[in-house]
Amino acid sequence: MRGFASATGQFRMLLRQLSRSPRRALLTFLGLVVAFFLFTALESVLYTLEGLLSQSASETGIFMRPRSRVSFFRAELPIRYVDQVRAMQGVVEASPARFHFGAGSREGSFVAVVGVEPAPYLRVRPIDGVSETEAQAFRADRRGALVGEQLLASNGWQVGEEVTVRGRGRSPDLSLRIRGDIAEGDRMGRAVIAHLDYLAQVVGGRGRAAFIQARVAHPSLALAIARGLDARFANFSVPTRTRSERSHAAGILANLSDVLVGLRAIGYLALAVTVLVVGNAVAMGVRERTVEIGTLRALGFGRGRVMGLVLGEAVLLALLGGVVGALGAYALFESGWLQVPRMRDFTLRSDISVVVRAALLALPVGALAGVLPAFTAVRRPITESLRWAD
Amino acid sequence: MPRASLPFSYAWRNVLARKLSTAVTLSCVAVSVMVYVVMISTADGIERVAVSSGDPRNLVVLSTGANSAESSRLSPASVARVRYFPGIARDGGGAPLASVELQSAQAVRRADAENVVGEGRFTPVRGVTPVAFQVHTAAHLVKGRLPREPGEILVGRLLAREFGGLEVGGSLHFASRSHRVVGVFEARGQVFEGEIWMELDSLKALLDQRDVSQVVVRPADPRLLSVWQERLRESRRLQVDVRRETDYYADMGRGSQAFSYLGNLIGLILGLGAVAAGMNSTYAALSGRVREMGTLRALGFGRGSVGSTLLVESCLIGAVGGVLGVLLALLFDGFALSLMGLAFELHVQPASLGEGLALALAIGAVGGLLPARAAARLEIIEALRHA
Repeated sequence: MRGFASATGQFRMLLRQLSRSPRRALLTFLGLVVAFFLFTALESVLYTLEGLLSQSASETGIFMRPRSRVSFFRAELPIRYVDQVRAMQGVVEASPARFHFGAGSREGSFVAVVGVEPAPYLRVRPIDGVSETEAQAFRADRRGALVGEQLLASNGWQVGEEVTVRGRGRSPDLSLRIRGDIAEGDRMGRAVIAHLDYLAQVVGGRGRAAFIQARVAHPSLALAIARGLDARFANFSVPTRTRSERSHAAGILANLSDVLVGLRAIGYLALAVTVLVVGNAVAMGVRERTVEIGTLRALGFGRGRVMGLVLGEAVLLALLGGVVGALGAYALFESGWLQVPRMRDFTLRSDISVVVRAALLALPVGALAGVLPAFTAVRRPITESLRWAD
Repeated sequence: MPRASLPFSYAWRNVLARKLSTAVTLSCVAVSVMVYVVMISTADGIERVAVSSGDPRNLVVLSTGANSAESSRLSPASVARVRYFPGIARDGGGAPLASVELQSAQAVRRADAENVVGEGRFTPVRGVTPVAFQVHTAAHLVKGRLPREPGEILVGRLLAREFGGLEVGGSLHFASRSHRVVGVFEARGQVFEGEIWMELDSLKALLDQRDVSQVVVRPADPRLLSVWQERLRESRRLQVDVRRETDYYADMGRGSQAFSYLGNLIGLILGLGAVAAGMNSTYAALSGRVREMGTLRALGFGRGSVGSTLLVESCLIGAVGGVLGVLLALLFDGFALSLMGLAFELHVQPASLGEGLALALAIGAVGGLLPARAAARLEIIEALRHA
């Protein structure tokens, strides 16, 4: 009980201290809010980028591509490889896939079609927003397609409708029957999934895939299976490179490393400077209260308690500013109001985990800022403090 | 009685008197300015390399529907038709000025590297023939010689720097083998400087590939560029898209806008934080000197000059912080960066330095305004009695 009473008493003293110089407390608070807002905003940008790439990157998913590929999108891998992938022990299911790019109903709009073998593909990776009836209808119809919600909306298409993905330049038109919609949050939420053999028949290039996607029985098998597959195809006409979905995403991220490192550095730099700002403000307060601190100590407050008060002031202020700044950035990002110019499909997102991390960082920021002023507060002998005049 | 104004040295000495506060505000301003200038320079760099790349006399021939060389594919038959299309410029020996190129992005690392994150840095690799140096007039060899056999490569000046000062004789690893650098080329700051060039046939063999990505051609009569462009595009026997080389690269630089937007935003936010810090320390300067201010007023200095001395102090800190920030930003000058498929050198332009300094002064002025007003409003008697 007593401990609790003294804790609340301590807290009240902290608040009293902060209200002593409301203007300074407010300005310091504003500085903290700004720094934590920036930090959280930058971390949210990174979170969005990482999310885009590793989104539902399953731990049991593996990708096989030609080892020496010219481009990500070209279909160069023989489709017959898929039988051997399926036959590999530990592989649950595999599907070849290839890309086709066309235009939607509007002039100049862009539609990406991914051709797959429907039944195995849906077993490799369940798709968000596609019900069992929709999946069945898609499997049964050779010209059937699953279309991302966003594409449906931007083209004015409906499920059940027959639509045309117009060929770009001289490549032929592709007519499809929409059998289901893919949830926006799914990795394929902006694409069209169609039957591979039908796609190949219309646009040509039968027997080739851009990649083979497979699912293995357990995450721990992914690496060994990937190596085993590459070894098997090493002397084939098209040698392969197989990687787990996770390492694939990590590879793309590594490629953006200059940007990521830069943004992260700016966020931490802002926090580092904030330590100085808060420290300076608390030190000013300690200086102004020299006589008062002397009185407290004369009344029997120990060094520890006085230091605790000063440290507590810095931490409390940092926490308040940190939480407000982080939540502010979170609210802004989650409002969907932020748009990157010229990239309308790209929505910046944040996550509560980012906010929590930022708010937790407020503790060391406050502690670092308070530690020097706390020592200055108790260093001066009591008699000298009491006599002190500014 | 004349209203004297306080000397500049008074403000200066006051700034020096409160060392800690001044140092804190300085670092805030310096960091804001540095980050702002570096981000703006990055956006500049992207835009500059995109806009300056390519030759206005050249056309890029890609396969129909391909947006970039990466997704374009031309068969040997199409290539022959493009090369011998009527009206193409020819060199002294009568060979057409048509550079047949295969382009591919490969994960590249130094052959002697030990720890690599991922598989290395994605780098454009261009398979070319010697005529490439006549078509891409900006590109020229500065060290070494042209590659003669498989496994030999040329590296652009910037790429060499990105890989930590790669020299002739060094090696890079990509596409499952190691490649020896036999020459270094420059291209007046154009995108090519961030690329690896090698013999077209070697790259074809390496990638097990018969087709190429693009043909860059120069029409004999530059005035007929657009007519020619149409004729190629409409030709029945070819399925190609034709674009001006300069347009092709300018399109790649569109991302720079997002970057300068981000730079402005971050600069503004950091600036706000610096304003709060600066205001705090200027207010502290005021409250520590109330009696002194009263004395000055009693001596005959006007409200304006007492108030403005605080403003001058705040601006002084801003200016010095700005200079510091600019100096810090200059440390990044000459950095080799690659973003969004474009390799470029970070150059801090005088204009962005000026903008950085303006930001610093604005921080100082805004941070000093309110305390200065408070100082000007002090009543002499009360100020003199202030404890």
